[in-house]
Order: sequence, then C-alpha cells, then structure tokens
Amino acid sequence: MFSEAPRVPHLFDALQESANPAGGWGYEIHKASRLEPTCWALVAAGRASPNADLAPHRTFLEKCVRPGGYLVEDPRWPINVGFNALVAFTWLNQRGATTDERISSLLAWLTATKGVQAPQAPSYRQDNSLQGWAWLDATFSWVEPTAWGTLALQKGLRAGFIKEASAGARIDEAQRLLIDRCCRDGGWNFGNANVMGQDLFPHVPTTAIALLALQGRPEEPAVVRSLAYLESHWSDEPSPLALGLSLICLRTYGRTTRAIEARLRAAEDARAEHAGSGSGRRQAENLHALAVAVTALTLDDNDQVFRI
Amino acid sequence: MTMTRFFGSDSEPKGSHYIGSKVWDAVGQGISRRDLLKALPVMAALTACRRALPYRPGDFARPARSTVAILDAPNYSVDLGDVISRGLRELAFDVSGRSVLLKPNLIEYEPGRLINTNPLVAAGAATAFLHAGATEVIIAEGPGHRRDMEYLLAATGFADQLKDLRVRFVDLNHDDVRPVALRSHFTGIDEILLPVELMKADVIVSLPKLKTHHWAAMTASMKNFFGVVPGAVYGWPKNFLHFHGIDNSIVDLVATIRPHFTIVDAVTAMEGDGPIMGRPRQTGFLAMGQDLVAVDATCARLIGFEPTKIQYLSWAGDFLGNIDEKHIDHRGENLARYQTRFDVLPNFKELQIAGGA
Repeated sequence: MFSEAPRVPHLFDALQESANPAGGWGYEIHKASRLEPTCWALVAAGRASPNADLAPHRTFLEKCVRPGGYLVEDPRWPINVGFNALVAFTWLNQRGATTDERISSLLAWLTATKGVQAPQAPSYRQDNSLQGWAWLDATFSWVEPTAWGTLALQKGLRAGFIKEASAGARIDEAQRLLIDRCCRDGGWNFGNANVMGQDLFPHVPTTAIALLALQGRPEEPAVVRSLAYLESHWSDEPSPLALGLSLICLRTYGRTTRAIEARLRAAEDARAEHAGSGSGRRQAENLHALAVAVTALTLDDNDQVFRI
Repeated sequence: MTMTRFFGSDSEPKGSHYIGSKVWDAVGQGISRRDLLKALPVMAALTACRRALPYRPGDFARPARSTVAILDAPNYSVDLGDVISRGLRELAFDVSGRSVLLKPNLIEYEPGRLINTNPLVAAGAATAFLHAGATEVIIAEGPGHRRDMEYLLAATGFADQLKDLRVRFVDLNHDDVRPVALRSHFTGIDEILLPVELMKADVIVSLPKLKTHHWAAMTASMKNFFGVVPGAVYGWPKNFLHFHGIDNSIVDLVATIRPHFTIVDAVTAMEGDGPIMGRPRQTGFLAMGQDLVAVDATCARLIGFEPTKIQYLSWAGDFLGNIDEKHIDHRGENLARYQTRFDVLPNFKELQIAGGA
C-alpha cells in the first residue's frame, strides 16, 4: 500500500496547507480557487486521509453550481466542459460530497453538451463526424475533455445516475473519437494525430488520460499501441504531473509501475528541497501537479478510483 | 485572403472574415445549406456595417513614423544581452523604474525541432532590461499545446536559464484572471478573461520566434499574444480563438493588450509548415521596436511576404501601427543583408512578394 509510504503524509500536509481559507484550491498558492485543482485535491485528500475535514472545499464546488446543473467559478465566465466532467468524476468518487440530485443534473448537462461538428477536411487524417466533448461549448472536440467526459459518464452509468439509452451512445462515440485521434505510433497529442500530412507526436499526460477513458476496450489496437508507448516513453516527460498521470494510468491497467513511482517520489523530493527558492518555489506551488502526485502515490493495486 | 479556420477543418467560409465563424457555428448546429444561402445577403449587409466599425478610431493613435532595429545575431552563442541592450539604446526605449513582462513563444517541445523562442534570447532580454533599470522582469507564457509547464520549461532549457536570473516565471494558462473589455471587435467579442499578472505589468514585451504559420501565414510579435489567453478558462489549443477567426483574434488581442515593445528571435527562424512542424532556417538577426505592426511587417518583407497580403497585418496597419515601408525608419544593419524568401505552404505563395524565386 503506497498510502503507508513516508512521503505521502508530507505531501498531503503540503496540499492541506495550500488550500484557500474559504475553501478550494487554486492552481498555485495564494491564487483563487478553481474547479480543476480543487477536484484533484479532493480526490487526493480523500485517498491520503479519509478522515480529513473536506467540507469547506466541497462547499467551494457547491458554490460554483449554476441553475443549468453545470459549474463555473464565476457566472460571467465561459463554462469549461472538461472541468465539469472532472467535477462529475470527483463527485462520483466521493459519494456524500454533494447530493445525488446535483450529480444527476451535472451528468444530464454533460450528456447533452456536445460542441460543434466540423466539416470533413482532406488535410486532416481524422473523422470529423465524430463528437466527444469540447473544452468550451460551440467549439471542437479535443482529447482531454473527451476523455474526462467519457470517464464521468461511464462512472455515472455504473452508479445508476444515468441510463444506457441516453449515455451509451455518447460514450461509444467519444471512445471512437479517441481511437480515431490516436497517433500513428500510439499515444495522443492534444487533439489531432495528423495535420497536413504530418504525423503529430504524442504527449504523455494526454495519453494517460485518454487510456483511462478507454479501459473498456483493452483489445483495441489503438489502446494496445498506446499502452506500449506509455510504458516505454513515460520517462520522456519527467514532470510531477506527467509522472503522476502515467502512474495512475499504468497502475489502473495493472502494469508494473515501480520505476515510475520511484521517479515521482524523487521528483517530489526535489520539489520539496527547492521549495522557497528561485524557480523551485514555483514548482512547489503547482498545486494541480501536487494533487495528481498525491493521488498517484496513494493508489493501490485494487483501487477503484479510476477503474471503470 | 486567409479565412477563419480551426484545427480540424481546412474548409473556408466565404464572406466577412470576422463573421465567418458564425457561419460555421450555423453549419455546426444543423442549419441547411439552403437556409445558409438565404441568410448570406443579410450577413453581407451585417458585414458591411460591422466592417465600418470594428474599433473606434479615436481610441487609437497610429504613430506617424515607426522605428525598427535589425541587429546582427548570427547564432545563439553571441552575447544576446549585449545585442539587446544596444537595441534598447538605439531605440531609446526606457524601462527604468518599471516592471517588465517578457512573453516568449513557448508552445510545444519535440527533440530536434526549433519551435520556441530560444531561452538564451529570453535570458538576454531579461539581463538587458534589468541592466536598463527595470524593477522586475517576469517571463510569462500560456502554451497553446502543452499544459504541463514544468515539463516544458525543463525540456526547452528555460528552467536552466531561469535558475541563473533574477526573474520569475508565470504560467499564464493557470493564473488568476479578470475580465477585460476588448478595444476592437473584429471577433465580435466584447470581453475576454486575461491573466492578472499580464495586466499588472508596466511594460509588456513580445518575445516571439519568427516562423511561418499554417493558418496565419506568419507568426511573430502579434500572433504571439494567443499565448496570453488562459487555457484553464478557454481550453487547449485555445480553440475559442480559432472559432472567432485567427486574424480577428490576433488584432483584437493586440489592440486590447497594447504591448509596448517586441524583440523577435530571428536568429534561427522556421519555414514551411510552421509553427510546429516546419524546418529551421538560419536568418541571423533580432528585430526590435515599439511598433509591433511595423516590426512584423519588416520581418514579413525580410522573409518574402508582402505584409499587406497578410490579413491581420493589413487590418492592424489601418489603426495600430505602420506597415508601409515609407513610414518605417530602420536602425542597425542593412536590411538587404538579411533579405530572403522562405519556403511556404502552397496556399500562402500568393502572399509572397512578386518576382522571387
């Protein structure tokens, strides 16, 4: 069990100490609370310290709920669909964090939100008829929001919040979009695999998140080659965020992760050593990455958080 | 004429550029081609009205003349801090007692590809501005592709440079934001959320790499400001801007932010299928100036583009700065020394200066 490891309580303390007094977490210390780092921190805190008082932080999310069922930090801001999917995923993993009614409303909104469909374009090697989720409504589908949307709907379906009739087709189309956008040698760029005849190169974090969304299709060639890519290339991007997402993904797939875990712990040690000086201070303040790292280091082999 | 495009489509809506995205929205929402054709005359009328008023002329004062410095920098081993200091003196640009925000182009990393502003140029600029009396220098960027800033800083070599300098880095994708009213309306948008750190700086300096761009033809000082739009609000790759028209967005952002200065990294530029997949092209200079439009127009000519044919430059030349050579004074090296003709994608050949090879 990684939760017994000595570094994790220290990291958890750092995360707790960097929360905003009024609830929630910003992307960095002393920044305004935002949906994404708050969700990751709630997942991390729930893993690292199940008895921690998370009520003020859950309240931050509650305050962001708008009449349509979606969340946005300020009602004048555009609605970020990808982060709403992450909220749904978080709530589904922390039942009791909000009401079932709110979860249902958010999932219904997410199911109905689709962005726009682009015309087919000869210079892109992709099927533009497929739609997943866009970052913002009225824009085009991209890998990361599509992956979180797929994960949230799959979790919601399993938990009985939504029906196969409404969500099944969205999940299926979103997964087909992810498969369609897979890079030639595996993995995912942020959205396109080939533009104007040029193959784009995969990114580790996007690959890890997309693979999580495709757990139900382990035989799919895109999944097979992307897992192979991630297993052989995770060390190309040795940041805490990329290492944390790689660890979460490969552990969820039951792959060997000892080397990634060691590298992530080393990265977090370096972060702690540099805290308070120069550029290291900024790294120490990256709360999104810190929360992902805490989550990754507290997952165990049978963990259900990311498993569908 | 370049048209509204977004990643995923290479079709081109007809009619006004800055309502083109609305046409695509309509198509995306299932409006039939017949309905669309019926609506086109109305759109054309709307276009005519809006074209007349994408900005209030009284809000802008295009300089009568602009000065652009072209400074020799044959490679990244030269003392770039010294080169930039000379440029600041040549242009009499004073930053004493003011904070300076440097906005490099730091969008993506792939081993072996020269995609970003070289970190040595950023370090040289930081050193020069501190030496010139700036109270603080910040390097700030919100990459449009990568969102893992720690990885990007380390991989590109920026982290190593930052260690040795009295500068901090700000991730504009994840900074706090505040609403800002747009000062021009080519996009049709009234307001945008921008990073607080950007708005706090006394002096904003664009620090781009000179590259061809497969949607906008060329990216330099002006296009660089796509990177200030916060991804944690608008997503990656800032698709919101693509949907409102790339040229429209460039002009609205620059008109609103009103950057004070630019230093273009044209030591090694990029030609072909930029801004990511192109090829490096040795050009050997830095371009500097307070009028970003004039600097970009000069860079465009130096790489073989006719600036009046680049849509965003043409629009910006109407009210933000000078693109006409007759209104631009040059300092530093003789321009002819660097004149070249970049390899461009076939759809941009019509934008090139006639008579080239």
